[in-house]
Amino acid sequence: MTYSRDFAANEPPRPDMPGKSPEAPPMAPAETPEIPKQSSKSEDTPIESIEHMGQMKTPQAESNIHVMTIVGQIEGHMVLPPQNKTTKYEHILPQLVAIEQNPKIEGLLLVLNTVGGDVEAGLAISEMLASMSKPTVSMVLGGGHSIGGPIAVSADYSFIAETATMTIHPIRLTGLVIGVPQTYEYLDKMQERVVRFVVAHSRITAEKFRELMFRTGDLARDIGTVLVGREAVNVGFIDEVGGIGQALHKLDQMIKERR
Amino acid sequence: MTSLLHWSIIPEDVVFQGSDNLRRPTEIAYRGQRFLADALDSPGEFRLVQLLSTDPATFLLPEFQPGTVVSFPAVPKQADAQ
Repeated sequence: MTYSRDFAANEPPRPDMPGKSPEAPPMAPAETPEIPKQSSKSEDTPIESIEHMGQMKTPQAESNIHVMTIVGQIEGHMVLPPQNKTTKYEHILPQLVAIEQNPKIEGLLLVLNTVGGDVEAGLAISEMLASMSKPTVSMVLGGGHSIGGPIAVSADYSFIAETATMTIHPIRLTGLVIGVPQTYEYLDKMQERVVRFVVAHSRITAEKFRELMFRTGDLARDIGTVLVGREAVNVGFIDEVGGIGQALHKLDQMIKERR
Repeated sequence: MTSLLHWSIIPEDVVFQGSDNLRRPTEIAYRGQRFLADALDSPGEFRLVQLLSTDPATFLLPEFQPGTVVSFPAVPKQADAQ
């Protein structure tokens, strides 16, 4: 199920925008986006107009870094039903572009607590992060499982909380038509993409990563490994054990070095 | 419905449970942008699903984040206007 369809056809009547001209909110690409009043119902108040005209700066704590949370399932080609908490990659990707482009943003902190999800969407986010020129630091808080692994290592420097866990396991063999040899090959190829990405962006070797991925006896229902906190650092998957303090300090340091 | 590309520690049948009766989002205009949004039960209320924009800066605006509920005031009919 996808979003893509022709809406021009049987489209329900479109609600008009509440009393605003189409140019709002005004946006120059090289500016920090100004935040219009959080109200969908109200007419423009004088304050709001001032904000839109950019004539008065409303007091606002401005940070030179942005925080991006990757939580729940990474939603990709398929829309997931509402019982899932999801991270939508089609929203994350342009956000990363905006962060890369905006001169006022100097660094990105990535906070992960994800159970995995769509491989291609996850790899897309990972590649995007890895190719950013601004300093990026990732932090695995509760869990960074499955495709969460590549996303965690895609940052310039990665942290994992003492109690956080990361599951490394093969790309699932559940689903349709497994009897077909091409399917095995396809899964194998997908898996290789993940392995190559992780090896290129962390200290772990391909042999070690595959060994963890196919280890038996560690997981009750599956093959694979669960790494807890320091173990992820010891195998070279994650750079350091630490919390928000260390992560922010590291990011700050990297930003200063870049200036 | 399952996807071979899905790689998660959550069992696939749990993740995709109920995906057959998902509603299709409709396209709306809101604050000068176009969105895909789910119509909610109360009339005029929508939950944003996806921002359709080519301006990356708009994706950082908190009011445009997916999941935000927006409402449109009922437009009074010409006869009601005083």
